Amino acid sequence: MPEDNIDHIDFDKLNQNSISKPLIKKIYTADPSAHVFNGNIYIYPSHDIDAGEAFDDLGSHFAMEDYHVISMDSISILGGSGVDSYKDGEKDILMQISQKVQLPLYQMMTRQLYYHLLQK
Amino acid sequence: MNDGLLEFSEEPKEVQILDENGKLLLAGDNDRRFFEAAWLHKYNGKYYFSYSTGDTHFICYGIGDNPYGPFHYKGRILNPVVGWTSHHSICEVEGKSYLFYHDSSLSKGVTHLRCVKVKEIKYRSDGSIITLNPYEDR
Repeated sequence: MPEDNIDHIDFDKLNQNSISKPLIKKIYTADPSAHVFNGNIYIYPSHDIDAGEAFDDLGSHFAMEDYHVISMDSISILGGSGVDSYKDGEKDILMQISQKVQLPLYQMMTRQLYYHLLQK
Repeated sequence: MNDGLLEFSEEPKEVQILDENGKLLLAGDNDRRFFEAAWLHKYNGKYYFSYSTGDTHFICYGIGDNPYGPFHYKGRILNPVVGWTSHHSICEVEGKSYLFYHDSSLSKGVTHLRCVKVKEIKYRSDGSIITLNPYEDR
């Protein structure tokens, strides 16, 4: 998994030109699975952490420890200046997991939510 | 899947993505072939299968009449972002379609420390999706 050299990137300029801003800045998030339930927007992302693993072709440097849910009651805040509606607290943490489970996908069925995880 | 969502209700089938000549996209076609990050959404009665091309870093899609496919390759939804991976979902909110995706801009390029973003996607009248450039000059 070779990484492109990023030394030439001016991140201030890149962020200025970006078509969108990070939705959450308090934690690193990825692989967003977005859904609308009862008029609210729910995003179930991966939560990236740095576990200090060396880079390799198997992606061992990717590590996660739990899952969080981001909820928003309006689309109007999307794509604007970025939001930090995410609140710290245990209720946002869906579950603690081993660090090698990735890529969440939610499905709503009858009145229960099923959370599917990919085991690496 | 069955009612308990713990097992398949039928044998999993392979999803086929076809090129403009109706031929299967092959493994050597790195710019267009499926790598990971599958997503399915419906628009105007058609099924859109979208995915990442991995080492070429595109989010691409194909359109089919059936959720099982086959899907006909139609192009790119998102050009490469900062960071190796690109992974997304597409969700309709209040009549508009949004691409939820990530890049590594928040960590200034650390490929495994990513941040979720969102941008509206727009369709042409033929149902094709207008490709987004994540860092276009404005």
